[in-house]
Amino acid sequence: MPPVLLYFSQVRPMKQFNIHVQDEVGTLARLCEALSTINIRSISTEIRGDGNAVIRLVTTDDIGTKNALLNKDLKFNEEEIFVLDALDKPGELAKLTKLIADSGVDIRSFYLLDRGLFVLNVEEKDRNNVREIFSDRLVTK
Amino acid sequence: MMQFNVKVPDKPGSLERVCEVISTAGVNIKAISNEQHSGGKAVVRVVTNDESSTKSALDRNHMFFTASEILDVKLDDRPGELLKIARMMKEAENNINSIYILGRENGKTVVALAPENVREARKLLYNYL
Repeated sequence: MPPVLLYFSQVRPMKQFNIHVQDEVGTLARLCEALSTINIRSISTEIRGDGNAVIRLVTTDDIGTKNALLNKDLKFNEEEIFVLDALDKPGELAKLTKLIADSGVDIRSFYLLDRGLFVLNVEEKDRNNVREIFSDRLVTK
Repeated sequence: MMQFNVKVPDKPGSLERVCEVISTAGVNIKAISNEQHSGGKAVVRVVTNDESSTKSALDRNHMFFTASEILDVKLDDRPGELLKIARMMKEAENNINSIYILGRENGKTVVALAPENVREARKLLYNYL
């Protein structure tokens, strides 16, 4: 079977912050106050259903973000994610996700960072697998 | 703007299936994110450029989904902008169920916001829509 033709150019490892908060009015405002000097590249929320939520953040300043979260005593963890640069047209995302699924990688989360830029977050055990799949397009600096 | 919440098993290939169903209908995905739930389930949240065709494609492929209204809020791309609307929502005591970035448009960052009370949020954030 011929390889799937993909029109994406790069895969770049980045850092994602997962902030563990309560699902209530004002939570986002408190977080944004803590990060008021940081430019947020991506934000997404995951409601856990037990009154808790996780806010996933990607910013332009990892060190500043970490310090701001620590200063406000916010509970968080950091994860390595992969940012995939794909073409913004029907079918490209399907090809990309097929390639990942065929390799057996378990996707923890997947979301849009910017037009044509997708964040792939996988289980820790699968990170080397992702690096192998995209080895010819991996940008490390 | 509508967000489709597609319920899928939490296993490799589920996200691909949703993308395949939508792309086969010739529809472009504007935003996508997934959420893992307990019991081996997950929800894929999708915003597309063609809501009617997306709904038909999901129906045709017997996918279990709901649709919810979201607001596309346009913010200047600089620190503190998200704080402005987060504060407004807090003062109005309108909970934000989900928020994520849809992309950039004419120098603005477009944010998808799913509030508890859509009608009130629409009035409140009128200048940002």
